[in-house]
Amino acid sequence: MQVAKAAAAQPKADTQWSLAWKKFRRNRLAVAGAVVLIVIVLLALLAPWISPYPPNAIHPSQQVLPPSWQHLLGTDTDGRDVLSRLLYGARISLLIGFSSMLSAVLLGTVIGAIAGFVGGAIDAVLMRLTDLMLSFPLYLILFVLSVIISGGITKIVVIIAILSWMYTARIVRAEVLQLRQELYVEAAQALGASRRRILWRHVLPNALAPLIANATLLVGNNIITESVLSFFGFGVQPPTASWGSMLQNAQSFVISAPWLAAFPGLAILITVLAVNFIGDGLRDALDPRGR
Amino acid sequence: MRYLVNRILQSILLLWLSTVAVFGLVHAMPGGVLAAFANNPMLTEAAKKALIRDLGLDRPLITQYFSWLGAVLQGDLGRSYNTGQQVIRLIGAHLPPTLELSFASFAFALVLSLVIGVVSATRRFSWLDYALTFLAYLGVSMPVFWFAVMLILVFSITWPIFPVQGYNNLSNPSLLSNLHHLVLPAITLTVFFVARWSRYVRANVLEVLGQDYVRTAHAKGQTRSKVIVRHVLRNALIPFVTVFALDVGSVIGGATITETIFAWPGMGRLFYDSLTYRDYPVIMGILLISAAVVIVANLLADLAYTVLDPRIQLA
Repeated sequence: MQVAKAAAAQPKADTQWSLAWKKFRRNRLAVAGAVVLIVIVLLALLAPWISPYPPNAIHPSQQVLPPSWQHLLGTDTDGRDVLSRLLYGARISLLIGFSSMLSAVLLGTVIGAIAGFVGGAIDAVLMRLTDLMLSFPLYLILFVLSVIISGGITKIVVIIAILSWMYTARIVRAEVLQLRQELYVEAAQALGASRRRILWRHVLPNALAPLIANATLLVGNNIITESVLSFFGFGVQPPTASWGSMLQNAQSFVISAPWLAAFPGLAILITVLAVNFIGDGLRDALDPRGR
Repeated sequence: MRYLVNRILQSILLLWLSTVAVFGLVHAMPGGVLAAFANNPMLTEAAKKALIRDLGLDRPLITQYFSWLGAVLQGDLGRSYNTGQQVIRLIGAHLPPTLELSFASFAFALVLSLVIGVVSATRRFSWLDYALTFLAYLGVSMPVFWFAVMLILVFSITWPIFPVQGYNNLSNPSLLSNLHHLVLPAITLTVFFVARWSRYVRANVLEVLGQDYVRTAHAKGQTRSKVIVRHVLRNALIPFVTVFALDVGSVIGGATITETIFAWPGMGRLFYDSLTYRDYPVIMGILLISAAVVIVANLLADLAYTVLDPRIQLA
């Protein structure tokens, strides 16, 4: 029985994903984005082995040197090697980008699922909360929260997650509401399937396409949000390097040392660009209407 | 009609919720309301007690909330801890620069997005479409503040064409000097919006181009430009109203980042400074007003949507 079911399910699942993969592969920008992102992630992971210098080593005699063979991307205001800090900063920026995305998707899924399944007053409360969160301009509330919540990188992840779960919740809720009317879901419920099972077996697989695309774009947005927080001094604190905190360090030296501001910004631009290409590629590939 | 009433009631509920959120948030800040005074060595214990009494901070939180709400409903947002000015006046003084900056950028961004969106959609998959698409991706993928810094680097320092910061020539203010100062911050915001809006316009125009009535218009022998303006653009713009209204709403609360970087004396800059001074009445005032603008803009967009598109009948 089990074997037969698995065999019956296999080909369908296979074609759906292989079709999406085929479509994704044909999208040259998305593939290029994926390659670039993999390279960036590898560079970040290998930072301890490939960095030419320790990221926080201060050399008062080598402050603010322009790019040279000694320091490919120059040195910053404390004589630290910019390339090394960029590589180590990639770890922090990517870590924050990905973990805040995961937290936001988790939070949004839970809230959206509860709102959709329970309905009634709870649904109304959760949806008004969602509306409320979307009513405040992002950066105003971002700065306020970063004053309220203290802590290191965890704090930044929490803040960004709190501010970015809303669309996930709306997607999941809409999917639940639509599926609750489907006959096979009613049948599953009649057979005594728990809500959790319905969520995992029916709702999430159906909502996967918009959820994945949304989650990918969230990574990019969150990397930018981290850089804004750190740039304004609310985020990653010195001496830890993140792309945002490096930009903050560069702030008062834009005139004399433009490379300090240029390189971390380019790193953010290239990474987020890659992520956005992947996200849009995934959205098109996973869209069942196949546009 | 029922939809209308429901939607308005919902917005009023949201407005009230936003007052609770603003009050709660500010009271959750470390050091509480008195943080602004905490580091003042001149403040004696007795003076502090008097201050607490004057500000009514010895009352229960719920009483404080309702007395604050009552004042807000009468248009009284309190006084700035920092300057002693009335918050409503302070905001009034910082509103014009924000309006100037936002409307300049909205106007440019709207025109550019429409042109880019239509050109991209009508010449779909041409090299021009690809180039514009790539530029839009670039615009969406970079931090606004970094773009602003790069603009300053190139156009204020390498080639000193525009001033680095500020609103006007301080010793000799003039409209011309003000516009001169406006250019870089306006470009920053314009690029930010065009990158988002042009993609949206392109997608909508593509959708409308495939409709029967567009084919009919072509078949009637109307010129290409007439079809685009009369039939395509008008219909493509309807869904765009929502996006536009939301963005407009959120920027009136201050283009925080752009204003802070260019020292543009608007609401965003005021907010950032108030946060640094822990000037709570001002923070609350700006948060509240910006949330209210977003909520109302959202409501208006929804209403406009139903008026503009007779096909939509929301019961």
